[in-house]
Amino acid sequence: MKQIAFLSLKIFALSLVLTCAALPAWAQNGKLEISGLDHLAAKASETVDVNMDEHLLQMTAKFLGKDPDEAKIKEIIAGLKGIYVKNFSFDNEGDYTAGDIEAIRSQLRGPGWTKFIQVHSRRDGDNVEVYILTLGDQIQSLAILDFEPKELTVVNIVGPVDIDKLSQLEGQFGIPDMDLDVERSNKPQPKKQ
Amino acid sequence: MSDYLWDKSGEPDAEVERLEELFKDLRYQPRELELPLLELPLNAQLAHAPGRNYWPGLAAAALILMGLAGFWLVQHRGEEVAQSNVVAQANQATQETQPTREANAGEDSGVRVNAPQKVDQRQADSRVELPRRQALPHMAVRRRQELVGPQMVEPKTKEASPDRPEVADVGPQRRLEQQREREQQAEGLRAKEELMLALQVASTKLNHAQRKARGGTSIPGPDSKPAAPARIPWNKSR
Repeated sequence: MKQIAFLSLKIFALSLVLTCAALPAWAQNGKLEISGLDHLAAKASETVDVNMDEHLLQMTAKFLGKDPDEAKIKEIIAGLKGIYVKNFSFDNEGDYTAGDIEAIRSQLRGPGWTKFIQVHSRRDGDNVEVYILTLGDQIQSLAILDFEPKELTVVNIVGPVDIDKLSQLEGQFGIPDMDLDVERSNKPQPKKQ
Repeated sequence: MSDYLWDKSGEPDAEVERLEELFKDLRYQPRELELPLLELPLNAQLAHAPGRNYWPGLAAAALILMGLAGFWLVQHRGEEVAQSNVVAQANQATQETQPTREANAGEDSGVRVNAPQKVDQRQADSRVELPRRQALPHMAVRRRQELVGPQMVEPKTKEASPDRPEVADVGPQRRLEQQREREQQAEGLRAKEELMLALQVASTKLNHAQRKARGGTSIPGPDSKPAAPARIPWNKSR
């Protein structure tokens, strides 16, 4: 009886250790829970919602050709475990709340996440935050949180992402730049002194 | 010295015999051990009761709890994957309406060409009922076997043989195959467009953050050459 009790205790301790070891790895896969923002789609005038898991990315990679542009995309998505984008454009200010932002931001305070860029603009109310999840020297996940008075964007790229290559994609492949910047560029710029 | 005191061997010692006689009533007499029942509190008695060990029960309970937690995690993740599939299908449904918006793109100055409209929830729900169509090519063969039976997916050389009576079924089957291939092609192209859109948003926002951080305002146009990409300060390779 004593031996059984001791064996059970050992199994329990081993299971506990394994569970404790596995939990952080599970929690640090870099995927954010952003489905909580889905309710904003009802208020938004325009919504971009892209959810591509690893399976879908792999399938899509097969449809990418061999020309340099598509090869570049294939290179970027190689090894990625998911790309999740939510972009909401609203007609009125205040259609999303600080709680919506905080729900995302609280996840980015977890272990491993580093806030790399944070810009708050009082002039136009634009706020951009860029976070990366690193493991050693390698980026394991990227998160971009961009919220303006009438627009909210969350980007979450899970997996080893080459940020430099990603930043080079803007304005390529016949896809025009997002209206966000175009609209801003049409605004009168303050004169530099 | 006599060993009488030790094991009663040898010559008896008178003094020892006298003492033995004197204390004979106190000598050791084998009998069953009887422990007195202590008046302990109930908890203490339970704790010391023979055969009462709670560790196995506790360990079993903990293992069951961990098993349940693991099951819940697996279920939860499964739901997430299912949800992502539903959203992906809903997005594909949105992409199907893309030609209409592309036709109107000229009125919209081409700015919003790649921003899908809000997904109709009823349409998304109706997509849930459909089987998932973005299967991999190797899965397509298996699904075809499930749908039409294994005899219908035999090699084409056998199907084309005039000796075989199944020749009459080749037409519909090939049409089915071609239709499925076209569907897969369309699914792939839609997924590709989605991927382009997602990467474009990510890239734009990333550069936007960098420009904001630097205080710059230069915006590359759609036709601008990608020769001067935004330099990211965290990239160690450069």
